Amino acid sequence: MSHQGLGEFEQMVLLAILQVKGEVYGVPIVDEIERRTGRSVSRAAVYVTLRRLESKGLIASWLGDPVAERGGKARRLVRVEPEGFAALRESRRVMDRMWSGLEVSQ
Amino acid sequence: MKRAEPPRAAQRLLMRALPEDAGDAIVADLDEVFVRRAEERGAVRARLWYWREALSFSGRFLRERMRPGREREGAPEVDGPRRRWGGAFSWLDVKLGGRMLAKSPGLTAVGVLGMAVAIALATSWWQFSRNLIDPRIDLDDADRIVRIRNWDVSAGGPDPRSLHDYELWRREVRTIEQLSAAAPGEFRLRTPDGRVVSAVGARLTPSAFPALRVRPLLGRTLLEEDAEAGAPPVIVIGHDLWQRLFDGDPGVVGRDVRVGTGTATLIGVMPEGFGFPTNQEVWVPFRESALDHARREGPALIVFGRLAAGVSLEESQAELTAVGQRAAADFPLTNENLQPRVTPFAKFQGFEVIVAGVANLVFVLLLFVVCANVGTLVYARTVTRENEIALRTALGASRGRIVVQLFTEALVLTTLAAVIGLLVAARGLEWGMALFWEVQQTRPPFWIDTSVSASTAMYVAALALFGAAVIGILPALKATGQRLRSRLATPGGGGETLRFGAVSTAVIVVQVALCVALVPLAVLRGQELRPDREAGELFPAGAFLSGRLLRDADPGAGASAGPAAGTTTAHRQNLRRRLEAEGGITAVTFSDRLPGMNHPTEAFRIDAGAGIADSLTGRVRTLAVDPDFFDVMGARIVAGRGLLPSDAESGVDVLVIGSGFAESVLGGRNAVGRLLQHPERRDEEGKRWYEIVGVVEDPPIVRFGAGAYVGVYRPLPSRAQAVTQVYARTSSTPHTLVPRIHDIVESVDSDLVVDELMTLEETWHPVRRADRFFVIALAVVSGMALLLSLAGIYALMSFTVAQRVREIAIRAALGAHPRRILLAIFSRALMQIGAGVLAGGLLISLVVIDDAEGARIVAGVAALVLTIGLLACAVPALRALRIEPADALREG
Repeated sequence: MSHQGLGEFEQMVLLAILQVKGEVYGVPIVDEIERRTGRSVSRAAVYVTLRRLESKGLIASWLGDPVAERGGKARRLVRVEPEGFAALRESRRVMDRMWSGLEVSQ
Repeated sequence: MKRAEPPRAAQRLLMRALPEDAGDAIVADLDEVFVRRAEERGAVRARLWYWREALSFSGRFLRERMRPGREREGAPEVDGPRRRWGGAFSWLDVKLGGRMLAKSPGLTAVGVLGMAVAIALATSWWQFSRNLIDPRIDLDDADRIVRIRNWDVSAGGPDPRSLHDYELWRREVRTIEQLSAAAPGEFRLRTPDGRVVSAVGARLTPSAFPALRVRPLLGRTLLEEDAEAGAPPVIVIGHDLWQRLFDGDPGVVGRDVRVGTGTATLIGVMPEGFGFPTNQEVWVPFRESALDHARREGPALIVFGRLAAGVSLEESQAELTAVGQRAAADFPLTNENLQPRVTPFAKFQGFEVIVAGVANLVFVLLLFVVCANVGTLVYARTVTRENEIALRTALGASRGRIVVQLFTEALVLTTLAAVIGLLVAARGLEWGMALFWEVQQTRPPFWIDTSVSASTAMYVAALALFGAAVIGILPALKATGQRLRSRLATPGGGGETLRFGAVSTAVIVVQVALCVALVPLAVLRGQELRPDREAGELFPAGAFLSGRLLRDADPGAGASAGPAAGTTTAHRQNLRRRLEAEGGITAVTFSDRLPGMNHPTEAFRIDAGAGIADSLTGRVRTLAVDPDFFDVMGARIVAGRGLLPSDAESGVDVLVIGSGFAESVLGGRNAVGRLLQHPERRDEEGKRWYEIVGVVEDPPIVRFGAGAYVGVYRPLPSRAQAVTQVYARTSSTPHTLVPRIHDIVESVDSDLVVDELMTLEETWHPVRRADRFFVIALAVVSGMALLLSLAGIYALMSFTVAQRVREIAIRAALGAHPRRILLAIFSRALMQIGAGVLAGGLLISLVVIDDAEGARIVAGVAALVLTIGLLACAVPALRALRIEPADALREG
């Protein structure tokens, strides 16, 4: 399956999914990105990206069990599919190739 | 403490904007974060955050949906080339609009404030009327719940006494299932600690609860066997009443509760927000049958049910019509003029919808007037940008492009106003509705929802577009019209400039006329509502305990709920004696109602007697009072005599009138001995003449009450109607006496209860708050109108004179005397303002004002307008006169 390369934001979202401990859904993903990057991100952009990644087959999503604290509403949980891992690896390889031989100092 | 809830309108917006398969989970995620933020940073900031997110999500997902498929799949997320709508709209225009707002802060402030007020009013009405006409009822499949009414064709209205027909419909109608009936009434419940609490309730057929598909919060609802004769009395109560009476005690089911004069077992508590059929919170079984009453007699019923599966409203109506026709043939005496009609429950159709629509139109018209004013100001500014517009045209911008630019600038202005208006409406509506129901002394229907709905938000957006069209497009079209070409021919000066002429004169005249006509009207209305301070000082409302005295029936016995019979003279005398013997109570008196509270007027006619050509007619409020009412309330008899104990018994029709009423109707002529009639009363009552035996100084209670003067006092009949108002003047802390008064009342007659017992100050508090609110609202709206008009008049006048600066300077250079020039300018302004004042004065004299006070206010407003107008002319004219003649000639 061929992919256009992953965008920076898409990479960030995929990596955040992998980093989150416990149940993986929109809220902790946004928290994870904000915590690791130290800047706030548009929540809507994260959700739009999640849908796009799913439509590309890079991640899968399903509804979890109803949660009482959320008024009985379920969470949409996500996980990275093998294609997602492949795309991440490919992106990293491309970037490594681009970086190879360069020393960027202040 | 109540937990903060995310804004419902924002949730609705999200549900509409988000894809169906994602909406629920995303909204639940946002709700989850909302709860966290509300705890960390407070509810208000969390709500603001929620709105920001809702708008951001809606925008993102809508954009995502509109992307072409290929692009949607591809990676680029942002920063594509900026799209231009139709090649004309650009974000640059929005930025320019923002800059224009900052550049003319005066215009921005006046324009935004004026429009925000108009938009807030229009939005509030919209939301309010949607709630009344097309409410969203929070019940399962509520759209299928229908109501059946018997329409009396000869009387032109519904006839609710339909017990016989209800039983017929239940037997014969197949298109409506679980047909049920409710007979609303008032119930008095006594708490274990002896308090008496009044609540609106209904006797309900047990089929009602299954029909509504609602389950109790605790216990059970009514069953068929509860409605059988001889079954033990049972009661179901609403959530709020459960909280008020039992502090939400979960073990309340099974307890005995005193209801009216009987006792019933509490079998269930309904969930919060349930108040069927309108605002009820007590339900007992309906036990009457058609056998108990003649046709078209018996209790007033609300009949309802659920449309059977697959049946449309029209099909159901067809069946009901056929059933109605058969009943008319079988019982021509009673049913000939009755037509059963089926309608969606709680939804209005026909006339009410038209009325609400017309009222909407009135508010839109108000917005139009405000926008026209702001448009005038914007036009004046647009004209000063003449060179910029000409230059852009020369550089190739089409007329359409420039119009879109000016429209977008206006849209920025109206959007700001719309946001403020929406916020004000959201807050104001919640507050205003609460006040409205408090003044009505009732609870709102259970489906009333004051939160701003998505349709309301759309409506506001439409208002903003409409406003921008009025403000932006018309002036833009005028500013880019034919004359621009001549401007282009001679850029930088000379040539013909944009002028107003006839249009400006017309606008000024109309503005002035509206100012002069409307502002005094608002001032006078405001003065009427201002509480009578002097009376407030005279009358110790906080020292008077007052309540409704009534005799209750036992709803458990199957009889009609609510007050059964009134008090008698014996009751009242006995009660007075017992109460006055109590320490802390200094005097007791009675009347048939609380003056001024929802107090209707009725028509009167006074026999004018010799010397006056016509008899005197009008409308007046009447009050039936105990003989010592005036004494207790501290009012002197100023002519004739007061009411005597014998007046109620003697059969002689006498009454006393208030001094204010006597003065306004008879103007200083003697009132005692004249005869008064209430011609609108039914039958013999309407022909009866009452003799005026005295004039009483208006009691402070009447003046202090709610701005509702009582003119006529008649004796309280020996056997009073259903309810009597009792007043106890106290010398100690009134609240400590409340439980004791309840006990004394019960000891006089075990059927007798006193209800809503509180100080008069507490009783009137909501009414006075509502009046104050109305006065403030009136002041804000008329103040806005005045400010806008004055700004408009100033802008137009100063602009027209500023246009003539060079002409004035040249005339001065050529030797014209400054006084002559000023005279020419001011005479034109005077003529315009004079015409406006005349038109406005004429308008208002047609409507109401014919007294000195009104004339003074009209004169004041006219003087204000004139001053502003002259100032507007003087500033540019004097500047023109200061230009050196040589400079003026050189430039020309």
